[in-house]
Amino acid sequence: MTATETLTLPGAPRVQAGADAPGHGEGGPASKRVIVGYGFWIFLLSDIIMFSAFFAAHAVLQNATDGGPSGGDLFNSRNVAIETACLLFSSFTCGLSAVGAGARRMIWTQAALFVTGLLGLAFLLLEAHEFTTMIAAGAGPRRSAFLSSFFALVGCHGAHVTIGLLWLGTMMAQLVIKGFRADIERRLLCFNLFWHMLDIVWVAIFTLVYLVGGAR
Amino acid sequence: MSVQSEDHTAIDVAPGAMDAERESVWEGVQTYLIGLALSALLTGAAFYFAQSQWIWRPSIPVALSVLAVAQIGVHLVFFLHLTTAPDNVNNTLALAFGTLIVALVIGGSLWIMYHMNMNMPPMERMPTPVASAARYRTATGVIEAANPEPVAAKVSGVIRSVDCDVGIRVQKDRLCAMIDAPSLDRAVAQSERRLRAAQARARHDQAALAAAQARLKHGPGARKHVEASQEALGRDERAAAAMQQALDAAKARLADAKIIAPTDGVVLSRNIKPGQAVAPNSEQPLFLFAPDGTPVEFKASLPGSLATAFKTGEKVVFTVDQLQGESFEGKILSVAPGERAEAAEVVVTAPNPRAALKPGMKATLRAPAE
Repeated sequence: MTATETLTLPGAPRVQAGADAPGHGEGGPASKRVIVGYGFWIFLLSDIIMFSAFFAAHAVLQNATDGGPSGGDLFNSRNVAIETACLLFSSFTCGLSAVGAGARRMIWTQAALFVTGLLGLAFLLLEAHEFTTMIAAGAGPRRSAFLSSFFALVGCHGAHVTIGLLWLGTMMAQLVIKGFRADIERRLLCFNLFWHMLDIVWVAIFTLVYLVGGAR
Repeated sequence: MSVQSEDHTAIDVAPGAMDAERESVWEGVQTYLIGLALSALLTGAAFYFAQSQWIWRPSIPVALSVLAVAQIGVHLVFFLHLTTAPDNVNNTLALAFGTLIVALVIGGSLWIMYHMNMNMPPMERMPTPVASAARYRTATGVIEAANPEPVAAKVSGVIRSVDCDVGIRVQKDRLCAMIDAPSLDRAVAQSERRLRAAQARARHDQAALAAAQARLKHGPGARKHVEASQEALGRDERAAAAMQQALDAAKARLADAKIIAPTDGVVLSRNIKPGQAVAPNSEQPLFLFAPDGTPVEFKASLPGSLATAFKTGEKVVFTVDQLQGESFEGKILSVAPGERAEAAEVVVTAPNPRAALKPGMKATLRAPAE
């Protein structure tokens, strides 16, 4: 990896030598790790902006229950608490995997990723159970605008978790086969960002959709 | 320019990356532990406050939002290692911009929709289709029942009681009023007395016949008595049967004093009250019933220039003053030029399955302006 290659990346920060602030000019173009990480960071922010549209729709349609069940009738706060705990601990173990990868400890990293995956799977199963229970009770996405927006928002997050799990599986396999190569490390960094972002979105969901919405 | 490769001494720090060279493994784990502990605390607080009874309820959404923002901050700092240090300026600026857009999308949506909701009349008061008064001209008429079923008195007397009020739904044969007819009561009582007398005579004749037949065994001289008794018995039995018929007739006439609903339907009008004297063949029926399922009609007058907007057989929508917020669908029976050349009259018929439309209500027909 050479500097000339790095310069060809789109959006690579061009820095001027001699700028005052450290990190803004000294040392030439940023490393690929920074550029990839930054690019993925921008993607995640745009993903969050997409989520914000779902949040806005849900907030606007909060009371559009069409005489059907409202959040207070449907949500099981114990279930939500377990889901939240699963995601929070998975975020923690995901962080541990990053520490493990930084220290080049294969077993540690793999174990932390595996536990992250198990917790993510548990979250998904709980969510699937919640959805099927609601739909079986006649409170599916077709019942009211409120429920449409609920299933769209929470389902979109669930889809992200599903994709994250698939990604996690491939990362574990890549680690086994390729070891701690630079590109694998960058991918691990991106996966970490993605997984933490999912937890941040879930914080907003469990607060606004389940706790605030469940009081209605 | 020095050549930078995949090392971690780059002057910017990738988002989410800890500088492994600067921090020991234990320090890295510690950061995540602190983040986990703080997040768990904030999550627990959120779930607790959401259900707690001692906090002022309307403040709970705000409290929960504050906790959520705090927890997101914890995640950003301890899990994503975002700092305000110069090496994080790009990451933080991008986040700030993202947050701005998120705030605009969510805040803007809520703001706009709140004002639209405020400016919209409540759904249930809105006639459909939504029409601005300026673009529509209206014609009004008074609703009549298309085929009302009248109920008249069959006997004369005084109304003793009234059970059916205007607007209520009745089932067939429901007792709606009673007419006090003393002459009929007397007629029934008299017929009953006569019947009993006739029956008593018949029983007496039977006894006499039996006695005559007993005597017949002793000698043929009693035959005359038997024949006479048989004749008397036959006569009196015929008289009793006639009396029975008279009694049935009297009872039937007494039953006419009960005014019952002729059909399942709705009471359209009631023209009697207790104490009022009624007689058969009166002009005014006692009750008018609208049988279930029968349509209503109204005639609406409108400017002749608008008459072309309506065609016989077309469907129209109208509203009723007394039933705010509902609209009804009807069909145009006829469009006729009115008495004046510039006026027209539209006759509309509408099904009335719920019997919501009652005679006397004022219907407003909306005509799309040319």
